[in-house]
Amino acid sequence: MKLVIDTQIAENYAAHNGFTGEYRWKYKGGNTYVVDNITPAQQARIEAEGTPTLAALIEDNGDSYREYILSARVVADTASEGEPWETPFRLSYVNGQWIATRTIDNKGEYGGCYRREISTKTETYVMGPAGERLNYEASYVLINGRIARDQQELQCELEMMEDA
Amino acid sequence: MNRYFICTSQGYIMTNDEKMAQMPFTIDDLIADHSLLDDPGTPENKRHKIFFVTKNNKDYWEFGEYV
Repeated sequence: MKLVIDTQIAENYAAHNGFTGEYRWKYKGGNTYVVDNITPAQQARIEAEGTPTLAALIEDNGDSYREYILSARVVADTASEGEPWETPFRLSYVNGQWIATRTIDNKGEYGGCYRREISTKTETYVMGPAGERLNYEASYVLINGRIARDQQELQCELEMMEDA
Repeated sequence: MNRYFICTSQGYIMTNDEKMAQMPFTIDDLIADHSLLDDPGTPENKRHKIFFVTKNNKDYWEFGEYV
């Protein structure tokens, strides 16, 4: 079984130049978070108590940005996690911290939003309180098989590919 | 200690002040003359080109200009 959490993100368009006390929320899609290998005991606890720990890490109730949970459900391992063009974050509990990671396929059936030289992008971060992303890292696999471990290396790899 | 990232046509070089102190040229010498990275006699079409340099992860030199 796995736990699938769907969220909604909203931005306060009245706060683009700083919060002034005015709210004009615009909905901006959301994220999906998946926890694999849920045991029957964990399933029973989630169904009885919800997911307060993860909710405290995911939900952000700021004045300019909000992310809140729409649904948290335990489903079969084979159940859908969302739309096929979306890539959920997979969550794991390691050494007392929740780690979120996802690998976005930039070349798959649904294409991607990154430059065509990028094959996949992998993001990893430690989940901090209220949506804070601690130790965020993004790495990239390029279509030539090379790996860029950060934005700086990616920029250089792209320059090299353009120059080739 | 300053850290430098030098993006060239043949890969990137990560270095710092300590390592550069042992080199016969400085970062700014390299920027002025990219061929300092080449072995003697390297054909022109195989010579290094420097695309950009960052210092402590901030732009330092790119597109022929100091930033």
